[in-house]
Amino acid sequence: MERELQNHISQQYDNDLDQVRAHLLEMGGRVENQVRDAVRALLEADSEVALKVKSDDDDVNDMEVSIDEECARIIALRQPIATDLRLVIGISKIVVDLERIGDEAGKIATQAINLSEMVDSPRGYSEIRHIGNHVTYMVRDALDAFARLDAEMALSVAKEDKLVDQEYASAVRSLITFMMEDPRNISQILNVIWTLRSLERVGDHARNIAEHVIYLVKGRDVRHVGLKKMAEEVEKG
Amino acid sequence: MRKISWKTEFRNILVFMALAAVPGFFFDILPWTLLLVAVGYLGWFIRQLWQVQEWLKDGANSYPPEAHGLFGAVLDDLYRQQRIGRAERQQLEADLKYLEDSYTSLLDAAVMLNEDGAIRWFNKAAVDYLGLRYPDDTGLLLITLLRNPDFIRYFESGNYHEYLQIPSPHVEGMYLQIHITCFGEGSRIVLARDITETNRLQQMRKEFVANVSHELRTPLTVINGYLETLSDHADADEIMRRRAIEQMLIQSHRMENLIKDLMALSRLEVSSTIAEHTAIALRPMLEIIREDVLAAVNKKCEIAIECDDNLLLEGNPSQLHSAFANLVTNAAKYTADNSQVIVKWYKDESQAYLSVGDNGDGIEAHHIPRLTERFYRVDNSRSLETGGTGLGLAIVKHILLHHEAELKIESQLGVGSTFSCVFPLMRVHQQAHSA
Repeated sequence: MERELQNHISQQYDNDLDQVRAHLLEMGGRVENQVRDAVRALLEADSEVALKVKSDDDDVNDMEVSIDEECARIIALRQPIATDLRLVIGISKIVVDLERIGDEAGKIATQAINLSEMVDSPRGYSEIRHIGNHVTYMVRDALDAFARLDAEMALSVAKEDKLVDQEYASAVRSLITFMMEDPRNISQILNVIWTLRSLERVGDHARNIAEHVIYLVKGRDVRHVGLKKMAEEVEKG
Repeated sequence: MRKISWKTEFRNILVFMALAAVPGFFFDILPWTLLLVAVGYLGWFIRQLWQVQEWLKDGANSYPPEAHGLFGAVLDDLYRQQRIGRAERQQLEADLKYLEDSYTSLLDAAVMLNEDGAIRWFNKAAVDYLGLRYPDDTGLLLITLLRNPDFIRYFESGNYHEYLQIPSPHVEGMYLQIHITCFGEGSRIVLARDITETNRLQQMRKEFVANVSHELRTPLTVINGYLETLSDHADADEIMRRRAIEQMLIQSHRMENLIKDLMALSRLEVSSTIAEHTAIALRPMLEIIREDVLAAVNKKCEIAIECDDNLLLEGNPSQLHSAFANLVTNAAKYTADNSQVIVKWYKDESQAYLSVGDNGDGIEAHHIPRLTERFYRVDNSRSLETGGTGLGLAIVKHILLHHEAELKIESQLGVGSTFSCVFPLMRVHQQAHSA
C-alpha cells in the first residue's frame, strides 16, 4: 500500500495529481449523497428531494467533463509513467462509473416521483430500504478504498456486490408473487422493481470502482476474473 | 573551568616541547624531536576525536568516553547540554502527550489539519464518528474521506462563523455538528459533535405540536362543516339533521378522547410513582377488557386468554387496566378480519410477562423503536379509519415505567406482532391457595 505517491521534481505535477484526486472524490461525495437522497425520497414519498436529486445530476455531469479534461491535460503535459499513469487512467475510468451511478440515482428519483403519486400500500419498500443501504455503503467504501489506496477494502466491496445480486434476485421473486396475487398491483410493483434494478446497477458500478482501485494499487487488471482470482492478486502484494 | 583546561593544554604542550627540545638540542636533531612530539600529539588528538565521534554516533546515550585535557572539558560540556536537552525533551513530550490525551478524552471528534488540509492528528471520537483509521489516515486530505458536499463547501469557504450539520459518514442515523477553528499558519482543527439526540428531541417536539393541532383540527373541521350546512339549510329534513348530529357526536367524542389521553399522559408524566399498590388477579380484568374490546370492534375477532391464576400482579388497577386495554384494542383493531388475539399472563425464572399477540400484517423493523412516540403512525392513512388517537402506546409506555416494567415489541412481517409487558419478579406474588 503505497500511501505517498513519490514526489516529483516538479511540485506542480504533484499538485495536479492531488487536485484531480480530490476533485474525483468530491464528485464521489456528491454521487454518494444523490443515491442516499434518492432512496430517502422514495421511501418518504418526498418529491421535493427527488427533484433536487435530478437537478444535482447536471452538476455531476459537469464535474465528469472537467475531471476528464484534467486527466487529458496531465497526460498531455506530464506524460506520466508507472504509478502516475495508472492513477490517471484509473481516475478517468472511475469517473465514468460515478457518472453512471449518478444517472441511476436520477432514475430512482424519477420512480420516487411516480410512486409518491400512488398512495397504495408500499410493497417492496423494505427491500428497497435494505438494498439501498447496502449499495450506499458499497459506494462509500469503494471511494474510501480509493482515497486510502487500500486494495483489501476494495476487494471486500467487490465481494459485497455478490450479496447485493442475491438480495436483488430474491426481492424480485417475492415481488413477482405479489403481482400474481393481484394484477392491479402490477404497475406499482414494476416501479419498485425498476428502482431495485437501479440500485443493483449502483452496486455493480461500485464494484467496478473497486476493481479500478485494485488496478491502480496493484497494477493488475482484475476485471472479469472472478472473486477468487481477485483475492489472490490482492494478497500477492 | 574552560579557561583552566585551555591553560593546562598549552602548558602540557609546552612541557612536552621542552622535554623534547633538551635531547634534540644536545644531539642536534631539534627539528626531528619537535616533529616527533607534534606527530605524537596529533595522533593522540585524532584518537580522542575518534572516540568522541564514536560516542556521538551511538546517539550519545551512554556516558562519554574517558578523556583528558581539552577533550575532557569539551565532553563534559557536551554531556551536560545533552542531559539538559533530554530533560527538556522529556518534559515537552510529557506536555504534548498530556495535551493529546486531553483531546483524546474529548467526547467530540477532533481532527487537526495542516495548511494543505491534510490530516495530522485525530482523536478516538473521530475514529468512531467519522470513520477515520488510525494511523493510516494521517497525511490524507480530510475532504477525500469526508466527502459530504455540504462539508466540502463549508470547509473551502473559509468562513467558519456558523456551525454545519451533516449526517455522519460512518454511523447510520447519526448527525454531527461541525465546527472548524483556525490556528497557527493555516492549520485547522475540525470538531464534530454528536447531536443525534438533540436533533431527535427537537424533531419530536415540533412534530408533537404539529400533530396535536392537526388531530384536533380534523374533527373540528367536520363539526364546522355540518354546523354550516345546518345553519344554511334551516329547513333540512329530520333524517339529514339526525345524520349530521350523529356525525358531529362522533367527532366530538374523538376530540374528547384525544384530550382525555393527553391529560392522562401529562398526569402520568407528572406523578413519578403511584400511591396505591394492590395485588391484582388479572383474569377478571382481562375478561372485562375482552368484552369491551369485542363490543368496540365491529368485525370478526377472537380473543383468547391464557392466564396463570396463581400469579398476582402488584400495581395500580386502573392504570394497568388502561395499559392492557390499549394493547388488546390495538391488536384487535390493526388486524384484518378474522383476527386472532392471544393474551397471555405467565412468568419464567427472571420476569413475568403479559403478552398480547396477533396474527396481523406485522410491523417493519425500523418502525418499532418509534412506536411509543406520541402520534407516531406506521401508516398515516389509517388514523382516520380506525379512529385511534395516536397516544395509546405512549400511555402504555408511561404506565409500565411506573411499574418498573418495559414494553417489548416483536414483529414479523406477514406473521404477526407480539407486544409484551415485562414485569420484574418483585412485582409478582404467588397465590398459595387457588381461588
